[in-house]
Amino acid sequence: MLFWVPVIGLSLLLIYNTLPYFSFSKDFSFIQERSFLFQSNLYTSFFYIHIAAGAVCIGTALIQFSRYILKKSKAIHRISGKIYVAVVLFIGAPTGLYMAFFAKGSFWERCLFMFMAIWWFITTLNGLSTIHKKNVIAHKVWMIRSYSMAMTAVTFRVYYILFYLLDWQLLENYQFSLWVSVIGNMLIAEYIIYRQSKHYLKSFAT
Amino acid sequence: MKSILYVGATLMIGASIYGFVDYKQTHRKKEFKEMYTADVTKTPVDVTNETKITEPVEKKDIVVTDKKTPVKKQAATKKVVKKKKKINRELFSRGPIREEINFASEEKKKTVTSKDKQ
Repeated sequence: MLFWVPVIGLSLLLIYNTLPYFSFSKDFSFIQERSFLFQSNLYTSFFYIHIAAGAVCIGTALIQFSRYILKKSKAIHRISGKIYVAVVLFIGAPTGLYMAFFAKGSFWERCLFMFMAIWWFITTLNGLSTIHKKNVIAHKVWMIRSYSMAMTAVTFRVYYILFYLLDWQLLENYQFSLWVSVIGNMLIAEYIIYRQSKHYLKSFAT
Repeated sequence: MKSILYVGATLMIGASIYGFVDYKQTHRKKEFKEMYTADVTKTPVDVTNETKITEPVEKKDIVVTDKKTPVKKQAATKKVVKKKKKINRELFSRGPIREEINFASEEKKKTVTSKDKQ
């Protein structure tokens, strides 16, 4: 429960902070920093589609891990799950992959963003295929991995603010927070899976 | 299931091709190279710059005879230059954190309060 309180709170904050972007104003530091990229209609379109998809993913994922909702109504879990999968596979991951080529940082940060998009796609697809095969345990494992990728959006911002308060320089802060959020989330996901599974290595099977 | 895989894979491959082609077209441009590095030059006053801190202190040292007060004034000048970092909802973003955001939000609050008084 203690784990979910900050996760839900920060996820809702992220969704709340995303909403003003749909005023299509350019008075945001993220957009101003990338004003050159936003001259391209394709990049602009992919950006707004990606943040909308991200907000939907994080919103739907919040209710997916609720045992209460799963017990009360499996239909809600299925509908919400289908929305999450469709948004990730057809919208969030492809647009994220395109934007990764222009990400802030060095070549390695761009590679990391590409890895995130691809891994998010693979884990979500595996989560879908395992539940089609009625393998609930494998479905849980792969969706935990998928959710950990979605949550990098939240954990990145937490580390970014933390290192900002510690007077780190902006670019170094951005790069380090990115690596820590991705690797940290993956490690936390694998630890949760390890605690829950009897044969951890078999959790990579589909 | 296969149709979902094919559509998703097609979108991913298309996105990577488009991204690679656009990147090849733009990565040599000066605006793209300076896009993220230009942010460093726009950051606010450098607190560690000693010349900016010492110049007003030196002028005051000539006027003040008491040894204790220059130290206090140095601390005061340092406090004036070093701005407090406040955690703001707007900081929860991937965009660069600029103190201008904090000043803009403070100005908005002032304009709102002044309008309320009227």
